[in-house]
Amino acid sequence: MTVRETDQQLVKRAQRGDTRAFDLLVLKYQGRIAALISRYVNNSAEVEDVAQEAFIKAFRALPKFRGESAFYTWLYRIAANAAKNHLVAKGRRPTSDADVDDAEYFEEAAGLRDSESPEDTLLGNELAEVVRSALDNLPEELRMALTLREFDGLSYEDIAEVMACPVGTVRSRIFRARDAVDNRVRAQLRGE
Amino acid sequence: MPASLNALNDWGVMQLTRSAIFFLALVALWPSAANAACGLSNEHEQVINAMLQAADTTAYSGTVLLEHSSERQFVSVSAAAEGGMGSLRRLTSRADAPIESFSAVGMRTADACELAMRYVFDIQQGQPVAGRSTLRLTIKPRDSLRFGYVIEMDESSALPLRVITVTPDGQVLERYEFADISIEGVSHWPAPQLVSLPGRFVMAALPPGFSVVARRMSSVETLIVSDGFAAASVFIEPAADDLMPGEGAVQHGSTVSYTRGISMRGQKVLVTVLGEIPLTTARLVADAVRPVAMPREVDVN
Amino acid sequence: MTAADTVKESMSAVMDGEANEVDLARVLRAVDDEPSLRSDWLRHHEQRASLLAQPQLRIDISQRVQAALTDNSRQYNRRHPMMGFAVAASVTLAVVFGGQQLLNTPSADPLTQLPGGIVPMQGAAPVQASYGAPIAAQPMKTSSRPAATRNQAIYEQLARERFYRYSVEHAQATAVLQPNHLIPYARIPERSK
Repeated sequence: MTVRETDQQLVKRAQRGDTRAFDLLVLKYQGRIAALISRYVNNSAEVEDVAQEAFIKAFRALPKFRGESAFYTWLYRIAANAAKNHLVAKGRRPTSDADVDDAEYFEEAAGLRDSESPEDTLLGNELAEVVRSALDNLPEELRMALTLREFDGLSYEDIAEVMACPVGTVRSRIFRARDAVDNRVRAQLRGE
Repeated sequence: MPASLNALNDWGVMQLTRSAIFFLALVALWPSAANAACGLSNEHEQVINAMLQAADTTAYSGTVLLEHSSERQFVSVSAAAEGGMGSLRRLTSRADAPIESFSAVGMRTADACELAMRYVFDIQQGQPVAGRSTLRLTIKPRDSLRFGYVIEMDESSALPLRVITVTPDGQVLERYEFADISIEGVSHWPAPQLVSLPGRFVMAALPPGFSVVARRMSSVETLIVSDGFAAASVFIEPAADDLMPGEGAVQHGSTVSYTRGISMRGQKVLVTVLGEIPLTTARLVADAVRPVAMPREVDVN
Repeated sequence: MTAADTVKESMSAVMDGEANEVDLARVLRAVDDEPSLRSDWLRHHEQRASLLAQPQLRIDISQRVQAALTDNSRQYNRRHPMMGFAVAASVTLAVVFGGQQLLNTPSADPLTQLPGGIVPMQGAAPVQASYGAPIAAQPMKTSSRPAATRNQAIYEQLARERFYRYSVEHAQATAVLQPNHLIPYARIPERSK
């Protein structure tokens, strides 16, 4: 199944110098990029510094990004290289023996991380469970629309065919599903 | 019926082997040569229908190579030689591998025209397989709920000689092809009847194009669903009370096994969809399982 | 629908790469006016990543990056006024590596695990970039698994057992429907017979 490239619109805008579009990409990926960098770098302040450096490098290199790979794959390599360079500059060996290429696989292995990672800041399985339970409690049509989108990667058009409804309805259901999940997750995390 | 069908098959295949110029002229001069109902040309329709039925009417023996990412095996096969049965023997397993038999008659739940609603067909000259000349039938899914296929079919018998199963984005999942084959003639056996026993479960809303084609009571209640080309079995069994709801899946070549634990009317039920379909489709098929509405008095226990 | 909902719906479409230019312009403008939308965007992606079991750390460097970029982009735009446009025009739809590894990676276990929905990891279909890689071949820490992961492991095991248990019946039931009746039988794994 084809993975839909969902960043293309924002990347295009950012390539034209729109920093707001790039801001949304930073917000989207900073947590995952930080998790990657923490495989190389122990100290959480350093993780933030390297992550910042990686995003700035990425922004500068955006004109060279031609979309042959997904934006995240491209960003991932920049971040992994930034982390390695950081270690070299500090005269240290990586704490993880993962190579850049391996790291991409590791990132996909759910929950796998170095024991040195700052545990307290890791968004753990608790969040996953809360989100999952919020998803399970959605009305069927909202749950199905969001599930087909997030787990099965179907386009709105394919989901519309599966659910026998117009594309506009799919779009609205997915929005309402996300909104409902978010409300529930926030309520639960506040202890309600 | 079988004899006339076969004549039709031969005619359909013959049409395609004529020169391209003649073919184009025929289409240009004879606009009714396309089936308006489904947009297939008569030639395409006949070739596809011939391929769908070829295995039911062809007696053959040979060796098949079946492979996917984790397995490769040679199977010696003989089909429809007697009594509408076939037999196969795995050559790559133990030396004393037993001969297994299978029913070499089939039935169609959809014809080319119906399949054209879900798949796009293309026919070209194919590469020879096992020394026989072929037509290449490319079957592309119109959505991401089914796999695509590249079939090289025997030019004279329409039997599929090489079949590649691909995901909607073009990744090869499985391939089988005849390493050698000898086509021994035509056999005719009555098509089997698919049984449909009454059961405790129904399908509420299957993914587009799929329908229940049979219902069996083997080890557990089983519903068979198909879109006319791809097929899956849905096994429904009671589950332990302490099983948490959830789902899991494994993949073997083009076959997915997707298991979901659900609660229906207070009963824990395990639904397993086993078939040569994408995971998304398996999940949607499991979504569709509903218990039959039972009159209250039936519950005498 | 309220104006706020309209923006949020557009934002949801941007998340999925299904937005039109109007949506995108609306979202970028609204983010400027209403900072809480940035938090909404961030949370939605955190929730998505956790649902897909993508490792992530909770940090927020976005303000720092923005501050650094505002400076950079001014310099950059002065130097290369047209370059951004030229490149943007050449961007084509990228295809992520999705299900490809699944198909080509030999594994000691002939069954490849696919994602369950409980703690979905990856599978035959693309949970963005990660859906489709062979989990079985990856080093995974199995100790102290949380309940949801344990439940997923149970279901993967159930799917595996059922594959072996029902393969013969599946072949018998579906062979008549296939263009070649012997293939479903040939597919039956050795262990099922």
